[in-house]
Amino acid sequence: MSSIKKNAVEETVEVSENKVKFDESKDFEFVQLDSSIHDQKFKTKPTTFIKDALKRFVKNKSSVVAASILGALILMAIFVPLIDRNDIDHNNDIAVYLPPKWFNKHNGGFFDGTGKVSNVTIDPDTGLPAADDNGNYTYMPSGVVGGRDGITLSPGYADNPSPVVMTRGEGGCLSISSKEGDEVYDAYLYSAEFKYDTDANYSLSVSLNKEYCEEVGNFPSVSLALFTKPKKQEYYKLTESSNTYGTITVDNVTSIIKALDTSLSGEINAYVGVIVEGNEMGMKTTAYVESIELKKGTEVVATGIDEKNNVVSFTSGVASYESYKIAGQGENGAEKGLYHAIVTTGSFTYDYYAAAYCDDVGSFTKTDMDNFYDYGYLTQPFDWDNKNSFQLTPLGEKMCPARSVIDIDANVWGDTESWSATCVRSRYRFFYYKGYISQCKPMNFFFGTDSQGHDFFKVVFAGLLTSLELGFLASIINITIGVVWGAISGYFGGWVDMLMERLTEILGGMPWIVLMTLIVLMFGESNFWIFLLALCLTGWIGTSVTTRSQFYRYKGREYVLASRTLGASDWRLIFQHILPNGIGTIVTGAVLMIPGVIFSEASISYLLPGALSFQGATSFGLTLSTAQGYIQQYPYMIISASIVMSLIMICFNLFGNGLRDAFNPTTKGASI
Amino acid sequence: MWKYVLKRLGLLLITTFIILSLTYILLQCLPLELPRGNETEMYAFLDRQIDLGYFKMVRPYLEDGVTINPEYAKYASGILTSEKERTFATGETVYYVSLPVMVRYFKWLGNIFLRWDWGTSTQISAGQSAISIIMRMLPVSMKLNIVAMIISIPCGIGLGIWAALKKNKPTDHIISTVIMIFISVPSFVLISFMLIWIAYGAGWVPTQWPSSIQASRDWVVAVKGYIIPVLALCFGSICGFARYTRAELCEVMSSEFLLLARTKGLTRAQAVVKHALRNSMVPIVPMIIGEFVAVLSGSMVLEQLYGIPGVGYIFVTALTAKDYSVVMVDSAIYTLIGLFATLVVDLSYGIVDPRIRMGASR
Repeated sequence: MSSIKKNAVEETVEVSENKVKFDESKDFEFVQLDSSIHDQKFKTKPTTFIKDALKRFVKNKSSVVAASILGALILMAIFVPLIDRNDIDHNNDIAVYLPPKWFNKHNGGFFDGTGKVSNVTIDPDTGLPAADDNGNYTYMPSGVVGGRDGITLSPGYADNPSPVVMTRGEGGCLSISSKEGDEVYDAYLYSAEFKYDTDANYSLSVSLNKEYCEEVGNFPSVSLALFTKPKKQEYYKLTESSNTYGTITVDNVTSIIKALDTSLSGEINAYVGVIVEGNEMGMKTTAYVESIELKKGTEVVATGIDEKNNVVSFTSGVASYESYKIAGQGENGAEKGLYHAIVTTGSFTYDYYAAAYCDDVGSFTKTDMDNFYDYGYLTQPFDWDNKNSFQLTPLGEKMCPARSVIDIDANVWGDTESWSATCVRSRYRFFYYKGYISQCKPMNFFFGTDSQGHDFFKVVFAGLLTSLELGFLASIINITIGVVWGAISGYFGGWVDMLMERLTEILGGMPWIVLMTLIVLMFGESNFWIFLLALCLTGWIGTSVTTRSQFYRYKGREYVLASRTLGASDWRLIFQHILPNGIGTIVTGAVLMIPGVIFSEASISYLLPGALSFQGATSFGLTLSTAQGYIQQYPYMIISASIVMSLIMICFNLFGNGLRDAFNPTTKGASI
Repeated sequence: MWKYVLKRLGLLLITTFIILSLTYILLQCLPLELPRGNETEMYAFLDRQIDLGYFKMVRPYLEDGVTINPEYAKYASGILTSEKERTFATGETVYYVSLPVMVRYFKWLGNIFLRWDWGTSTQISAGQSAISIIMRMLPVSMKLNIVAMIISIPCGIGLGIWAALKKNKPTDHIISTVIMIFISVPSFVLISFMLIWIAYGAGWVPTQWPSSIQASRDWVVAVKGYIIPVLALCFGSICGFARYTRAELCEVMSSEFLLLARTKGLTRAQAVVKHALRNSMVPIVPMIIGEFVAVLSGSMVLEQLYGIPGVGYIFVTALTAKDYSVVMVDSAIYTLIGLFATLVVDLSYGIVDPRIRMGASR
């Protein structure tokens, strides 16, 4: 034996002789050349299969990194819902859709809770974003970074008479169109009704926007008129219809109508207005009226629309859309509209957090005020007759939701009591008081907040916890069933195997989404356990197939035969002798099954969001599919949730592959 | 060989039959959803169910018109519940009652085998035959899958070969990492990101599948509508192909016959093209053939998210709306495709590599 080795060594030496000078006696020494060692103990410690696998696993850098990220994510899923005390059960209507904020310093919209907004209607008086008709702000003025100076104003045209335009717009024209079609109809624009004194002299002046009226293919024939019954088309025409635009003035209205109808005397009910004649070719013609002004004598009676004072003009403000009516012949087909009213919009950087945490006016009840005293915010119990009794303690200066009392409304009528104090309210302290946020300070939300004002960071990790629980449980159950099924099927073979194989094939062939829906529908309401059942119904098939092939491979081996000859039972052969061979495959399968379950759960949430509910708790898939609904307006939600999802899937796969390589070194590198 | 193919085909049909039977019976156990909309439509549906033999009508009197129907009293007094009651203009009230599930099942089998009648839709487009609805949806999914396949097969195999030839070099590491990432990241995440960046953000492509009217009006919109779904489908299959090709090629490259080929004096290119590639294609080609069969099926998540009216979309819609006839036809398609693809893959191994003898005993 040793002589052969010697020869081999000598040969190698010869080959490499010209490179390194090799001296056998110095550099090479045989260990235990002539000693017999078969009855000696090993000096090194024997290694186990698991230890060996672990050693190999640690060498695989990417898997180790993946495993540690995975561990961190799992720990976060467990501890974030415990440590993060922000409320995710109750709705906070104010702090909704806050973008992610990591830094308190403004740095150009990069995770600082701000965002650029544009096309916001600006209130001309304050120069800040305007409230809507109900006094609610879409963009709070306090959230505008830089205040008035931070807003870049840009005037824009608005063509539809929306409430914002009606209240905040300026100028513009009323458009009045005759009907398009075969029959020719005139369209009338007329004022509100007023008393016309036929003894006095009036002058009517209407200005038509020349530019708009002369647009290609649109030359309306316009005449002025004094209507008596506009709906019945009774009117006195004051001018001949013409195609020239600009300001048309009629100085002697009374003499014109008296010439047309000599019986007129005293006061009559009248309307003034414009007639747009129908186009004889059947085209739609539109006149653009900028103002109508009526003077009585020399006195200008024109300061906006006021029916009581018989004033029928509009010269400033937005073209008065509501007060003017139109009529076509037979009320037919004439259209009125608003054209090019100027609405000032602005674009600015908006600090969503500053807006959500600003001070506003809110009312507090008696219970609230009592609580404030109990919590030590007030130096003395609040006296409901004296608002000066609201004295904050130093603690109250930091924590009390009410900063000062503006007004008290305290009434007692018999049994009915009504106590409310209108206060300057600090919103973040109010959130803390209500329990929405965990600390009494303007909070930063890492992932922003969702449609209900919940901390999305906590929502994501709470959902992840549910999904991980589902994944771990489903994988344990699936592996158990799969191993037992595959072991029986593979070990016994023959007709047992045939029958079990067909059953698996049928179950595996059924559309899983049908099975899942059936189970959820059959049990009525779905919860965690029913969903788990649905996942386990077909999930074990993969494991059973691999286990079966393992058994086919090993059951004919000599050591199994030897054990059987020694009288080992089937049970012992299966679980003691054959199954441990496949332990690596099984562990890897279990690890790789968890992301599979998370993926299935998420797919189901996407496909049938209605079919799933975890009785209050949300799963990760449900969180994702809900966030999908806001992909256009608030993409930060789907982005953050997707990143966590991708991270967990990538890490599970890398970790699983690392495990597979470690347990099964022969397959290393066979697949990525 | 032929005997084996026939045997496998027979087994496939039996399995399909059992799966569809089970699906049908389970679906029939669920509460029935009558067609929405006007009454005429609903009664037309119910009358049709009677014609097909799934329902019966309980009238107040028996055939002779005189004897009182004892069963009727039970429905009238509410002891038994009917699916629907109907009062005719004559004042006669009748009850529509569904027959037991197993009776319906055998009638259903009869209708399919004798008349090829898979039932009519109740919700999606009431009154239309379920087959015609699915047939309308199939081309959409098919076109999408074919386009995706044409792109993904060459790209996937090419990437795989490239990575294998540069094994353990930076190129290989980069390709492998990208493949790893795209295989792990779920398709809906990919679709979401694409929607955010190229549809909503940049506005290059429509955010929803263009409707047939939009598409027929402007072919550019129709083409742009393909971008997101095709990309979403491609990423997965490109990575799948690349991964298998790389693994196979790596294995073949380290085999002895390739070493022999090089020792014989073949260049690396010759050895790779003539020897390694051909051998590595043995498991890949069946995969491609299987892909051809799967062209008929649609990705449910993708079609749902992008609003593509394909078989996957209609499956989910029908299931949510409880339109069971459509679900049945769709399940039949999915089941058949699944089983058929497995069969074709198995058989094509023998075609690609004649050394593999199909159906040979162990």
